[in-house]
Amino acid sequence: MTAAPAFPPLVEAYLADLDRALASSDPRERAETLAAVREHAAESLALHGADDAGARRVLDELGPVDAIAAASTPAPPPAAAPAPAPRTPAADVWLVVAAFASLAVFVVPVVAAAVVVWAVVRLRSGAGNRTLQRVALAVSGVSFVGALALYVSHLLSAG
Amino acid sequence: MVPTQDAVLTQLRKGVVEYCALACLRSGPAYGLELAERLGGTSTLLTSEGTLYPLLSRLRQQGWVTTTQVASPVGPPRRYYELTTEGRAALDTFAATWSRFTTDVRTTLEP
Repeated sequence: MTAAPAFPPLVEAYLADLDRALASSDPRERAETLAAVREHAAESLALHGADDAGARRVLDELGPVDAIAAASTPAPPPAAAPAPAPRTPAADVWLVVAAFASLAVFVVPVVAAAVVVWAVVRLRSGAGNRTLQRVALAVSGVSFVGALALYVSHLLSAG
Repeated sequence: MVPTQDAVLTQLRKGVVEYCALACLRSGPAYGLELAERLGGTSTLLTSEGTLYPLLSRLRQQGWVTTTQVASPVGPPRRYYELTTEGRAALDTFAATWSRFTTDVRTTLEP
């Protein structure tokens, strides 16, 4: 492995400035650019001398760090965080509970009818958990129809 | 607003300088400083020699050039850039298109 060459302070400061200027550049391009610029500086200093004049010559060749940063590719934006899972509104949970309760007390069809109306209103609003709303509508609908069937059979048997 | 010559040059360099870098490698591999001197100097192709290096990194990531570290007689190892077959094909396509494009531009600009 070759040790990194020691640069005159002027060149070291330039390289540090370049590193900062490339902070928002594509990470791979930033690393390769920094390494290639270091090599350019080392080569030029070896050829023309590592004194102050040589250091200034290197900086003149390479140009402003902002120009190099402007020629680089911006880093890709960070991946968006996954959207949180939608929360189930408490109203829809209670709707299902009420639907099953109407099934338990289906002999009182008013409860089932109220839950059917509630479920239809929730479904038409377009908000909340539609699966729960449909389950509640189906369960309360069955409860209501059961109650009606019981009522009709009772009337027929009484007649 | 009338653009400055620098502003016009900045626009013209986009999509062109990378092919000029490839063209400089057509005769054989070259290291960074060598390539920068071929393209830079007094020409209008580069704003400064340093701006060549992000471009070379992109060319390498595209697979149009490869890099190899070779010992240098004067300093640390040199990173030699070499044209790939794909890079050569891209350069040929550009050269053919550029010829037609510049002919059209010249014809249009002539008074």
